[in-house]
Amino acid sequence: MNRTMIISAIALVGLGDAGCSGTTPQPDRSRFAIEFRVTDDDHDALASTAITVGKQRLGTTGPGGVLKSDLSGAEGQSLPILIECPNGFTGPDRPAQLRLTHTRRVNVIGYQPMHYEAVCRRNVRDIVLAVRAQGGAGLPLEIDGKLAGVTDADGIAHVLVHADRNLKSLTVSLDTSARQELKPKNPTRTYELAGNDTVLVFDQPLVATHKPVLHGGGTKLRKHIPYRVD
Amino acid sequence: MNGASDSESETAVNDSLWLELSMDGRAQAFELYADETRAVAVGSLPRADFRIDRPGVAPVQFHIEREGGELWIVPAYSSHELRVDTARIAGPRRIERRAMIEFCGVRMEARLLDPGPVVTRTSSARLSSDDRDQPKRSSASRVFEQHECGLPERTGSVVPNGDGALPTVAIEKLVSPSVSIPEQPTTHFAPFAGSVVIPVQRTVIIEALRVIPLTSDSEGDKALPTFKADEASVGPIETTEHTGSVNNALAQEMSQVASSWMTELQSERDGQLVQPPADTATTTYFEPFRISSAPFPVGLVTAMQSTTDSDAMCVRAGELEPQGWFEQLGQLSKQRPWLVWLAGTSTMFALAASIALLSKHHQRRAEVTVRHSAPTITTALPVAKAADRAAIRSTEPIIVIPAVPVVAAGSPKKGQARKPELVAAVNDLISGRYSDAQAAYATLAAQSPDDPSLLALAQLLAKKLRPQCSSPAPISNISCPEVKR
Repeated sequence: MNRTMIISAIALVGLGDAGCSGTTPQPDRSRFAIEFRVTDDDHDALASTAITVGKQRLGTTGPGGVLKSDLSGAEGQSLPILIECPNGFTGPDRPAQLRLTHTRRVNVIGYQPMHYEAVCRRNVRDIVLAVRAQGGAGLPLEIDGKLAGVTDADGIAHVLVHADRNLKSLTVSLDTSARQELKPKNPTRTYELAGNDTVLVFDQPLVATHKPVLHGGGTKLRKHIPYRVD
Repeated sequence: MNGASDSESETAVNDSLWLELSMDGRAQAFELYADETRAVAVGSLPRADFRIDRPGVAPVQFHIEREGGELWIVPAYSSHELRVDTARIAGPRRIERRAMIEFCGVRMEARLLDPGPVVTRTSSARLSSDDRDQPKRSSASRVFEQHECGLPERTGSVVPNGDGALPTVAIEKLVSPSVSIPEQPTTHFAPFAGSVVIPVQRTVIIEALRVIPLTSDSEGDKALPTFKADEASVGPIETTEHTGSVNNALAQEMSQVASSWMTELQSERDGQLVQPPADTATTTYFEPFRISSAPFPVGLVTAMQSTTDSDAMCVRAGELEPQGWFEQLGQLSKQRPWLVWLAGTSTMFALAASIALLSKHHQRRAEVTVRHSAPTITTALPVAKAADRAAIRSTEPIIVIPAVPVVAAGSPKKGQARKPELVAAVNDLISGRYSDAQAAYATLAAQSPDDPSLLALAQLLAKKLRPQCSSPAPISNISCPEVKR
């Protein structure tokens, strides 16, 4: 009797311990799940972006611009992150610091993964020049002194320019040398650029002036003498 | 009252005045006799009464003489550097009881002492009342202006003063050397002191006179006297009485000598070097500076005395005033030309060597700078690949402008198709109706796929119309297109 009671008590204690450990599994505190998301300056997902944390290269982003990985470290540890953007894009100037931290929701068992977002900016930006030159049909359009287009019959022209993001200014002008009657002559405008995609609007009306008529074959204009009407 | 004051003034005039000159702890007292026959010369001259051996001090800077009961300071050479009681003087100035005299960085004090001990005078010669009435002038000016001197016109008489004092020779008038001496062949002297130190009025040149015994071996009017230069006679006064006479020839000779002295003195005043007369060693003559009809002591100057005078006069006019370094250099070049030439040559060599060394040092520094900068330039441009070099050369920002056929440029072609949709789209864009413009450009881009600008413009407008860019505070990570007019 006594032996049976002792064995049953030991069995109960053992079962109790086993039941507790099975309901609350302890997560690995040295493992940190992380999800990288890389986009361009248009907030579009950017693939083929290599990511390196510390001295370990984690891999490249997929088509969705996402890379999931696990990091091992200690809570609160800071690791440098190096983002290598694909060709045509420029990453951050300085390597960022990643701090390893465990977070979890209240109603979810286990830690949720860390999120890290990076932006790769395009090296070349799009600049669209929209020209409306009323009365200036067929005028050559020059950008920084180079012929970039010709206005149509309505004096409208559109030009797409791919410029480096470091370009600071752009000069647009209409060449009226072929049509001396148009005023103003060779209208020019300079635009200051800020590094983003830009739409430049060049609205310049032109007025055609008639040539002076000379009387009597002389070289001088007739002098206008006002007279009284009343 | 008046009688008392007159007696006091008479006493002051008759008594000697004692002048004390002090400088730098050195004091010296001088007795100025009532007969105004003594002056106190101050300067760098070795025989000056008060010698100041300092650079810049004239041989005779000034002298102090007595006029009645007053003391007068007379600057020499019209020196402008003489100050009395801080006032600059250029002519005679009366000295009060005490005066502070400054010149050439020297400051000395002149003080009129109380009547001192009675000193036996060697002569009682005094100025006449006429002479006192004359305006005050310096002795030097008297020398230069009154050059009429000569032998007494008529017989003078020497009157013993008694008490063992020397007799006074009374000569009423002097004649000019140029004036012919009248028929008075003999100048008769009364019994005369044998060896007399005649206290003549001192000038800037003559310090003192020494008189040889005047002896005569005969008393006749036409007898020639016999002169003997006895050096041993200088010293105690001899009271032996003598009589003598000077004939006309001797007097004329003396006058000529005196005249030559005056000429030389005039030359000395004009800044020329004065040499002692050649005959001074053998000729005796009168002291020529005492020009007065009043009784004055008569003396004969010995050759030794004349030498002393010449030393005093052998002073160049340039030495009388402070000289600049250039004048001193010029004087030195005259005296020692080889030394000046050597110094000038050495200076030029030293200057040339300094310039050469400086230029060489500067050139060496430039070479060192070039040497040091060369490796820097080399390291600044590392070896690069061909592609890298091309990239390095293209430092300007890249801009790609679509090529446009040249034929397209020029005047509008007639019959060219107009696009009202495009005009409307542009108008919407310029007016700020971006949504309408975006729709219009999207339609146009679909109609003309060969024009990438329309599609790009439609996309940019679409991006701009996104909520992230249309919000007042756009997201920083998103690059929103801009529209610039």
